[in-house]
Amino acid sequence: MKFLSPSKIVLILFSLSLLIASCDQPEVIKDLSDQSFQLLDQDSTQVTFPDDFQDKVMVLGFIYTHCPDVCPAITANMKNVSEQLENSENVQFVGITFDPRRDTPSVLDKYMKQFNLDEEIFTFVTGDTSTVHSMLNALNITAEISSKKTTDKGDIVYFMRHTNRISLMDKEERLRLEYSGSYSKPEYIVEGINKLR
Amino acid sequence: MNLYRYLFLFLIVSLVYSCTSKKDRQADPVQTNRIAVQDAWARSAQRGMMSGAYLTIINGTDQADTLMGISTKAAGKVEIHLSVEKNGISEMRPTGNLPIEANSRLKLEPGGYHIMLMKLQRNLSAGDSIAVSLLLSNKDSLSVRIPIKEHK
Repeated sequence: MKFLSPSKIVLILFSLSLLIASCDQPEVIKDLSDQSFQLLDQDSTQVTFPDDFQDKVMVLGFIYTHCPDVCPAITANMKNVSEQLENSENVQFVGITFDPRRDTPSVLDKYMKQFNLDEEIFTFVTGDTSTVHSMLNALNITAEISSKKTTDKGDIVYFMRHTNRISLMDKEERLRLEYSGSYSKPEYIVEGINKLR
Repeated sequence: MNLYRYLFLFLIVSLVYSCTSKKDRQADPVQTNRIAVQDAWARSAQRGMMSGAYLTIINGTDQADTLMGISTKAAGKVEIHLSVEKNGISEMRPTGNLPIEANSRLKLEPGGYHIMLMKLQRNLSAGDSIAVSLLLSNKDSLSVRIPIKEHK
């Protein structure tokens, strides 16, 4: 009876471990490395998405500030994720508004302060309407006005129908994982971040 | 002499029992003939922005009631909305009057019915609270103090 040589055993075990590791990696949903969106952050500083965050795992949360229920839950979930990470090195949290018309940089700045978010790792972005809508479309996000009315004072008030999502992009600017923004447990999202690191 | 001792003990036990019983009845208002509010809280937010508030209305009476509106000086406008989600798409819908059946609870909670506090007149900071009036059909109004909490 012939036995495998030690070197062959090592080669087989090494190949098996590589195979197992690759099976554990999430599939690429979309590659955005060839796309570029010019946005503004909460300080009105220009941001190029996703290039400015290359070499970082991106945690994307989609909100609008006139949403008092689901969107604060999404933002709070992002904060919970950031607090559960053992270290936030090479991780960037990006809040993206569905509503660039009302969510100007100063409004997003106020919104971030409500949550006491760490601006070292969090940024919230807005931009002109067509750019933001193109970017949301590229990220598989739906957002549209669901109801609209004019008040007695002539103000237009509207609410939006939107995807409830937190998404993860890898260091190569590829969309890899998608979670329910308000319902997913932070530990599952942390697990996803660690897989992409 | 023993008779008086037993009578004294009986009186003490009866007094303790009656006091305990009264507290138990008050702890579960569904069994009393009144309406109460529990688990009220609101999200912290900045002046001019929007916040959500939540609470449970307990109708401990034998009559159905209706939540017809909510008012507070802390917000320029207050509405009650319902969050719904289908196939991962979320939206809010304004609601009309909300019925509260007899001997039941109406919950306003995250992901469901909630109070929208719009055009906040001041900052709502964690640890603070706001005074709110609930307008009910069977009662003039019910005043409630809602504490402000950090986002969860």
